[in-house]
Amino acid sequence: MKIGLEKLKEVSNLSNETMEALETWQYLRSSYYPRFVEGITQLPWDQRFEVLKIIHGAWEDRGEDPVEAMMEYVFEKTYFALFCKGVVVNPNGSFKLHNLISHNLGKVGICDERF
Amino acid sequence: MEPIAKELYEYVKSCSNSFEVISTSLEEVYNQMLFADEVEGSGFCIKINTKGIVNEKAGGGRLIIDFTVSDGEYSIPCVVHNAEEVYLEGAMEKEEMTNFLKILTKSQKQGKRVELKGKFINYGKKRVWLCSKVRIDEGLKESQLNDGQFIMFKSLCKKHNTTPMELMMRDDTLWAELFAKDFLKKAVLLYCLNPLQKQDMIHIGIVSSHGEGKDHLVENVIQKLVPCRMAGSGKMATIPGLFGAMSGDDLNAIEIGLLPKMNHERVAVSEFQTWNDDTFGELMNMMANGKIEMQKGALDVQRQTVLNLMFMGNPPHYYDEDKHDKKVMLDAFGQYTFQIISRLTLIFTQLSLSGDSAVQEIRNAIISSMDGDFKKESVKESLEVWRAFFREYLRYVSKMKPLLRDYIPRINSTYDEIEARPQFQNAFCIRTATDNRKYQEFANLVRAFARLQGDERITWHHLCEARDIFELSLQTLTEEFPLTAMIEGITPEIIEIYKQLVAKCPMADNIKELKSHVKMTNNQLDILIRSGAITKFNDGPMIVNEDWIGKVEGGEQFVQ
Repeated sequence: MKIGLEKLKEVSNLSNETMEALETWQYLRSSYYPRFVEGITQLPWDQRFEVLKIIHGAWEDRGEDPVEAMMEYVFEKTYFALFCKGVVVNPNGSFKLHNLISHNLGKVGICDERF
Repeated sequence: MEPIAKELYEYVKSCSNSFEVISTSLEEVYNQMLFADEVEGSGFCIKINTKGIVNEKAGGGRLIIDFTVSDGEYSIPCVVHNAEEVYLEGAMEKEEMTNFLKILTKSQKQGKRVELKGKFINYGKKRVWLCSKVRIDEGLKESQLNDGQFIMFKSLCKKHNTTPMELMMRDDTLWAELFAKDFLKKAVLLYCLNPLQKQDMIHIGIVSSHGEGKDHLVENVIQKLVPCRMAGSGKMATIPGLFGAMSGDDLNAIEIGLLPKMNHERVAVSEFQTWNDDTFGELMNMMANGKIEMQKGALDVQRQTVLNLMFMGNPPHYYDEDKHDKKVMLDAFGQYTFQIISRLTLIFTQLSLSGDSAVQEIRNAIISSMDGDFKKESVKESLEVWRAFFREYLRYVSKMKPLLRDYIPRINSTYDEIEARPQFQNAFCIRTATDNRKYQEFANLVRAFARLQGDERITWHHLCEARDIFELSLQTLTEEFPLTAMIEGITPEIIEIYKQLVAKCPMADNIKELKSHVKMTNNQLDILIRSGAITKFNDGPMIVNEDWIGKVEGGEQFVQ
């Protein structure tokens, strides 16, 4: 989805984020996120749970079945909520991905099989 | 595929009809040799000789500059002079002569192309081109697409919800004669940009099975779109032929080679696996710095070779997709494999470039080509319109300079993420914390995509395109990919020597004994020792390791 410069400025004024950071989020949302979803959904749920738990950073096991709890979390908030937790975007537009996001970027990405 | 909007096509057609066909060779000049009409042409000065004229009619202290220009195919003897008209027509003033000499010297020493105008006359028994005007051609010809046409084209693209790159990738514009996947189309379009400075160069390597249509790609897509010359294979591509050389007849003349001749354009190398190591060795400097230097006698000549190279070839004959890693496909670059890989912006090592599912599309394209479908008037006209338009469009956008500076944080983050992957470090044998050349190539790709789209400002869309193609290229190179044979320059000859050693001399007391059984050069012996085929003990004896061939053919990693 293309968002014009004017629209971006408007959003930047409404939020506390810089134009650069917003444009980076646009880039990550449009380019990295679909690949992350493609990569992560290729993992069986028991592995996926472990990966998502680490990306989340502060996940506390809940209920009798922690994997099911994660499934519910994803169903409610989508993978994007977890993706955002694994990404740091700086005001100048630079960013850093969590290693496990980097290593699960789908078929075009080069996955390190150790993860 | 939706048809192209009629309004867009009609506009492109009106633009391409307004373009002139301009030749930058000396062919037209050569063809005028028998006549005395004024003619223009361009080439490189390969020889200058300034002489005094000893003839009463000429006047006292008069000079003649006797020089030769060549475009690599035609060489034309030329003169300018300041003698009296009764001796020879077309005299010049002193200042003009000095200017001529300066420009010609610059052309000869720096490999700059010069544009000349003049007419043929008889001078003694010789037929010479008496020149009246000279100017340096700074390399890239001006695009015939003007600013107004460019802006109008972009706005029409926007109106009809398309982009210049989408149009260039369509099968009914530039790709009618060849079926190719999107990544290959994008790589070819990047290659078709004109590099203005060394940082703009985009070198591409394609290693795939025979019969994949690599030559067809050059002949029917690239050469019909932009100037592109093919370098010969193997021994047909000599170093003098590629780089230029001293003339045997005249030591003051340095002939122009294929690479300087194609400055700011492009050269494709077919069957590069037939080239020997020496040729790749000479190419390395040119690929990195966009120039070559030659020292011949008193001449110290530098020639500009800012051009895009495309290497196309097959994997070595012993390559087995199931057994070998992908890097073995690049063995053909010989001992300079890593250096060449480092200089290649994109590398595609895929046995099938179009995938198994594309058989029908490829067959359709072959049959259409054989039946001459592309020569039928309506199809031919449309193809010519798009080619003529995009030829000028590519020249136009090659001069654009979308600034990278504002986008550096995102470019750096994207590159750092790719570079941190172990496969990247393995693929490019990164020894230092970061590979600056690969970084520069990546940044260049971002800018090149902005140029292809005709955008003045870098956006994440360009970054996204650059990352996708960079990763895809890396992926074709890195799948199942340990470090192997190529580092050591293992060729089929080396493997043959090894096999003979196993059979005839599995153990030897010294090198002499080894060589007495199997003929080999010291260099070949060195490769065998370095790659672990032969273990040399400190006290002299040597053992040929029987499991070495399994490692090579199985694609295992060598650990020294």
